[in-house]
Amino acid sequence: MEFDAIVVGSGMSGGWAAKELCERGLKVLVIERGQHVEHGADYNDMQEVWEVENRGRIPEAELDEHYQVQRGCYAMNTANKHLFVKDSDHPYETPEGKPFAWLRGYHLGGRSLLWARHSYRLSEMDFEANKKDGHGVDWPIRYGDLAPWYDHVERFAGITGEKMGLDHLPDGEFQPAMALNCAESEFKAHLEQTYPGRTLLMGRIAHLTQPTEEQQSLGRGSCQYRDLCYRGCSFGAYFSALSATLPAAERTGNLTIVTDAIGHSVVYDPATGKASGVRVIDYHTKEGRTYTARMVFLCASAIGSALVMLNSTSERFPNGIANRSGALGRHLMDHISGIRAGGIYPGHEDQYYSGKRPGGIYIPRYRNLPGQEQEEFVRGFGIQGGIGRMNWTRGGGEPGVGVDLKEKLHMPGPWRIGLSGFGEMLPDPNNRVTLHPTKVDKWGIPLPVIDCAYGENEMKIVERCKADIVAMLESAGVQNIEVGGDPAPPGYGIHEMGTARMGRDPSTSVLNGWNQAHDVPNLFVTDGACMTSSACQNPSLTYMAVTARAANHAADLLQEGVL
Amino acid sequence: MSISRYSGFSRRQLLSGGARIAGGIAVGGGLAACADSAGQEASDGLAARLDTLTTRDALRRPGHFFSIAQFRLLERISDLIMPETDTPGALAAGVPQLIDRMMVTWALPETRSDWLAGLAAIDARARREHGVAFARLEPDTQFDVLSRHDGEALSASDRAYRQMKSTIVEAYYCSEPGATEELRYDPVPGPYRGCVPFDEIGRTWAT
Repeated sequence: MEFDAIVVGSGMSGGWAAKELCERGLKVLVIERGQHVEHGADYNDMQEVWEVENRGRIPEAELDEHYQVQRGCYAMNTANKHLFVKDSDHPYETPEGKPFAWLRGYHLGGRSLLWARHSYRLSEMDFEANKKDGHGVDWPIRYGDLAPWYDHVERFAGITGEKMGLDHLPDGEFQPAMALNCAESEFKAHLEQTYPGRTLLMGRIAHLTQPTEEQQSLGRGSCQYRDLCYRGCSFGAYFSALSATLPAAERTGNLTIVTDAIGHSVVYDPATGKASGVRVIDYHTKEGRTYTARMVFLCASAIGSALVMLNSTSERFPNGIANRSGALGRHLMDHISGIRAGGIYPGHEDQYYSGKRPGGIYIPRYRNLPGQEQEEFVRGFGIQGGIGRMNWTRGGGEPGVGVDLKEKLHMPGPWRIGLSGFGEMLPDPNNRVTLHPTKVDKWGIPLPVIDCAYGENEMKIVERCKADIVAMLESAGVQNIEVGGDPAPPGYGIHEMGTARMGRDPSTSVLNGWNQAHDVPNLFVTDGACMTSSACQNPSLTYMAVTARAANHAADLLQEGVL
Repeated sequence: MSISRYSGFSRRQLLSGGARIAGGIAVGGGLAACADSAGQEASDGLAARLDTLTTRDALRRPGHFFSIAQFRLLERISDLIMPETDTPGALAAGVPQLIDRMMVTWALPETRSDWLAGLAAIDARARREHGVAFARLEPDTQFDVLSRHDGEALSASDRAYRQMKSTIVEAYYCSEPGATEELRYDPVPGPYRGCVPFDEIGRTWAT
């Protein structure tokens, strides 16, 4: 079969590339390295709490043997273990003393099944940041280039949220926001009064609260407030490639999906100067085969796509396809995570809530904004969290047994607040992914070597963020404040990006402003690899927007006969 | 309560007359404190016979982790921590059986050792304070011993005890009776209301 486009990867970005290209009339082949996952049928979201194997605990020996890294993901349990890779099958190396957690799942839909669903736009401030403070290279696009595509993806994906009118966290096309609870409303009022310029909003998350006709036609329904999202959602209430983009692509009749096909390399045709296809290794037989098409979209995740490109060597590109700049694999970023504090939020003992809201609150960046005095660091951080009443889980650590304990736990405990910062990481050429010179995986593909660490600016952000969180908690009268230790090592933010950055200059960047490789015009990279800076917002919405924009541009070029 | 699948003992036997058998079995179990209680039964013919068994596994029931003595102790502790009130308690919720299964299908040897040590510490306290195995104490005395152990172990950050207690609590509240009868459980809430008078809900949400 002849394909117009090959999309490598079927997750957050790949689903969007497939949808947009298929809807433009292109015949699209999606290559997924992992197994097929059936929306609904392969989720365990209908299990009752008492039916979950071992109450969600994965056997300890199995964790030790197969999930040394993945076990560090907060979302992993027996009900969704099949959505995480076995580290024993998919190893990578890190230098001594520089841990990097590469948390991932290899299956149809990828990490779009497991994401935390917070969806924020980057702002003009973010797109200008590199140019202004000199870290990294200038983004080749500005907010205005992406704004209509944010609109486009938000309308389709379904993002709940409230318009706040903030320049540095632009409003979008929102479905009705979820409510704050009583304690959160009070904390918001207190915070905004105590700290002028700081805002607290209900997280903008990719859940349906008022499904559109288009969403309903794809079989998606409203959020049921079960908060079982990490098992997959049979209601299709949160956005994923399986609930939304791939079904939309499929109904055009233009989509072909091949699973269990591991992207090995992009095939470069020196005669045309273009990519002619993608070489894959069959997961089961370990045999290689090549698919051809008129263009290639890499959407295999920041590290995944960089590895495929680094492994695509030719006479013209001995260091990886489209890597004349040497930037490929470099400037790996995550968000600094694990900056935490929490405590008991007093009062409101006569109040509760009904339903389990699948997302928390957000305090957008408030430091180093345009016009403010600059801190001793550049860029900034945002804060996520929530307040909820303690439940029976407090019983394990509180003294008392028997009827007294049971009666106590019959009633909810005090309210507890937890806040957690997400800081911006600067693009640093030394933070990079390379191919191991000798070691290969089961499929003969070189192992990734991930060398990434926080720098001085990141550590200053951590200190400021932590101090701010504690001060905000104290000012709100929070009791028994517990402060977390060091931030989590890079990777735990699960926001890897930057390894094939966009830029204006082909000698310092891999992609142009359309996510198109400077050196190979029919090769597009639209996942996190393309990010020129990281901002501090959760990045998936931006991956969606740049993917949709790039796919439509590519379809235009094909139509015009340029490609 | 499906205690009958444990070697045909009735619950009553396990709670009272089973002590002799249980003590005997613990001899070969390699568990220090529970083995202590076996000393009481040294003259017991059954214990002597079981003594001749050398491997630990041979003393265990196929498919189970805890020996009968250990299981009986776990049952008593689960029952004391989460008793039956106007709603079912840990025994009716099958908590000990779940934990036994978790030891087989989930726990690493180190975790299993923690559990055995946690049980043994409670038994040792009974012997220290009352001169007999925990299982031989009157229920009221058992409650006193466990209550004091609970307070001291938690303030000393005793890992084994804290793990045991929190797992028993979790196993209970995540069981069907624990979630649906003792607490409020609504797997598909539908709408979300962020601010509701507590009286409308009335008790803790199970999930």
